[in-house]
Amino acid sequence: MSTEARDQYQEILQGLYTLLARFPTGNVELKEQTDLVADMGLDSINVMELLQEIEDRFDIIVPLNVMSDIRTVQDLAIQVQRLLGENS
Amino acid sequence: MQPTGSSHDLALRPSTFSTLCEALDYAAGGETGVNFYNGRGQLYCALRYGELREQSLALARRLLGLGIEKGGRVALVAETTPDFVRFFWACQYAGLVPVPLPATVHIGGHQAFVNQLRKLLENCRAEAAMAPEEWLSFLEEATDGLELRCVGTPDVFDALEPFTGELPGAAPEDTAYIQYTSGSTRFPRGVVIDHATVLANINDMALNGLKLNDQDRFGSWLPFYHDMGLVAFIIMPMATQRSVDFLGTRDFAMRPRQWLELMSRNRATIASAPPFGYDLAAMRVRPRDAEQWDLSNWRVACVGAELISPEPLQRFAEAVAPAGFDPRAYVACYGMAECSLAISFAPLGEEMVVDCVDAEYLQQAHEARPLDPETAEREGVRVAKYVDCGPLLPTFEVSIRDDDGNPLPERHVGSIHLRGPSVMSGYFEDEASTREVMSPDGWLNTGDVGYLIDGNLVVTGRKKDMIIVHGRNIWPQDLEYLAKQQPGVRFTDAAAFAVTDDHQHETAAVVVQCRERDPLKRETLVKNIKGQVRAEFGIDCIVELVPPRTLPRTSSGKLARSRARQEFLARRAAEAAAPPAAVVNGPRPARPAAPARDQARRLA
Repeated sequence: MSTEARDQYQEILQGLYTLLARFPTGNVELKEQTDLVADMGLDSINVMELLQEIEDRFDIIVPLNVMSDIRTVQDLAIQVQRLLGENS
Repeated sequence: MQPTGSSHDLALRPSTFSTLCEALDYAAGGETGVNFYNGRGQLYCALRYGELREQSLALARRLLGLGIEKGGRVALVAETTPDFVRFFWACQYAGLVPVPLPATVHIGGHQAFVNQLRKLLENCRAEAAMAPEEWLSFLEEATDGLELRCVGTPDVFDALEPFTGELPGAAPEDTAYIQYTSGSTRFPRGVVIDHATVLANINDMALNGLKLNDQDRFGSWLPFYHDMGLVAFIIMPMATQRSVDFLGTRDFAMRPRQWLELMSRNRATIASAPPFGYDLAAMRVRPRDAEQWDLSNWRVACVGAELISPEPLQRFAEAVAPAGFDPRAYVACYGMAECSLAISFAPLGEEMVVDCVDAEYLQQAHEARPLDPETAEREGVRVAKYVDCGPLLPTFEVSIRDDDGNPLPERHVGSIHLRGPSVMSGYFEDEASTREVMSPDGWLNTGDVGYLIDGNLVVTGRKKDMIIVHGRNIWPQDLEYLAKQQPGVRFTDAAAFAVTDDHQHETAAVVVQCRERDPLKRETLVKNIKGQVRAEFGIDCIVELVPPRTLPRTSSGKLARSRARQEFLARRAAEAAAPPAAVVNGPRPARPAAPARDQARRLA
């Protein structure tokens, strides 16, 4: 990964932490390996709210099929970065 | 782009069509049609029924080019797209049977979704399957190794060699579609609905339930694979020549205000949602939105698909009051895929009626004895509240029966049996399941429990979910309600059902989704729920805490109690087999404290 891409990834990650902090975090510390469902306890309504905020913040559209393979914050950040790349 | 208009010169004609093809041929002569909006509220497709018919006829020829025999099944991943609608009508002209498949996948739910699709494809023995681009990879995985004539996106089907002979069309007794019920996903049952059957229901709804007029316009975010989304918002608007505005289900879930924005902008008059949908919208509406909207045209807001609790509806009505929404627009209704869709509607333009009854007497005597809440409070008696779902549509015969099949008088609770022209012919290639619910003389046992008041239907629960402890009936919804009253437990977090305890007695189990990690707080939660249940029902129950999203739900979001029960039993069995150290996720389920005999004595 180039330095530029790494920086972008870190930026996305920080952005996601900010968004995620607004949800019930189940007293877990937000890390790349935090599992959105098992650790944070996001339910399907939370997930929809989160998606909306991600779409608005990063100005992307997250296709539904992408979500079915996401478990952790890291997975999510990688997908956001990929979608940003597709858009540009 | 402009949406299709709400009114036109074509005379409103809800009845007298013998097939869906005939209905679309007629609607094609008008100006109304279907409109699709994206998550940002932009119209991206508007099709008049005439255009839709032309496209469907062309596609029908392509489908027949595959060599599928009349009555062959074409599975459609039912995302809210113009293509789904086009394929659905193309199948009708081609004499093929469309089968809507769910288009819903949860976070991390890839494999579960693929398995579900495969079950359904195998069950209906699909000959072709279509999915929009973003769902194709799931469909390809699900069809791997199955022998289908064609699996692909709409483009693939549009490029097929067309059949040049005469289109077979449909007869009234031909199957119009197969609708998978929201029941078990492991043993799916496909409801078979004929042209005449669904048209009978639509006619009944249009004339009696909704009293459609020539200014009506529909607005919906309901999924197309759900009976209400399919029948009430795709088939009914077409068969009554009305325009309909669609918003994707996921777009609604992400941005619920878009639904109301759309209802306001196009002055839609008819929409429907489960209580949960109104609740979700109420949470996201801001006062300044409501001031800008005009929801005064919205004359029918159907509420159905789950037992109706009035609180979320009140919250929604308050949130959108500044937009001119009239709470008398709420119409409680009852229906199911096995009856095409609708069975009863509460009267239009009237306040919702809640029947307050003596809860204790209901359990013991299976009779709904009226009890006004004030008297109840004074005398310390518990009240159960049920929403009146109105009179049955006129084509239905109803019979409330006891366990031996004897008809019961009014206000006596029993299983709801129905007969009429909207009832399915059976479950697809499943004679055993069909015989289980349908008698040779055409009565359908709905599996639901309820009672009648002056001919109006009140639904109190699902028969198969009933918990019977020491001869007393306990409604699982009641136990779940108690659990949901605990701090930190949400609306969708509890499931209650009957299990057999170590002494071979039936007892109640409550599974609660819990985000709390502190062992002390978890213990307190369990203790409180057990305490509440003991206080209200005099029974000991098992309370198990599980991580969020453990409880299974049906495709329409309803709690799947029997599956929750099976999974609970599997967890217990696994736990009994494994050494205690292996149990890491939460405390072990508690055992009933008192032997059953002691409980029985206490109750007596």
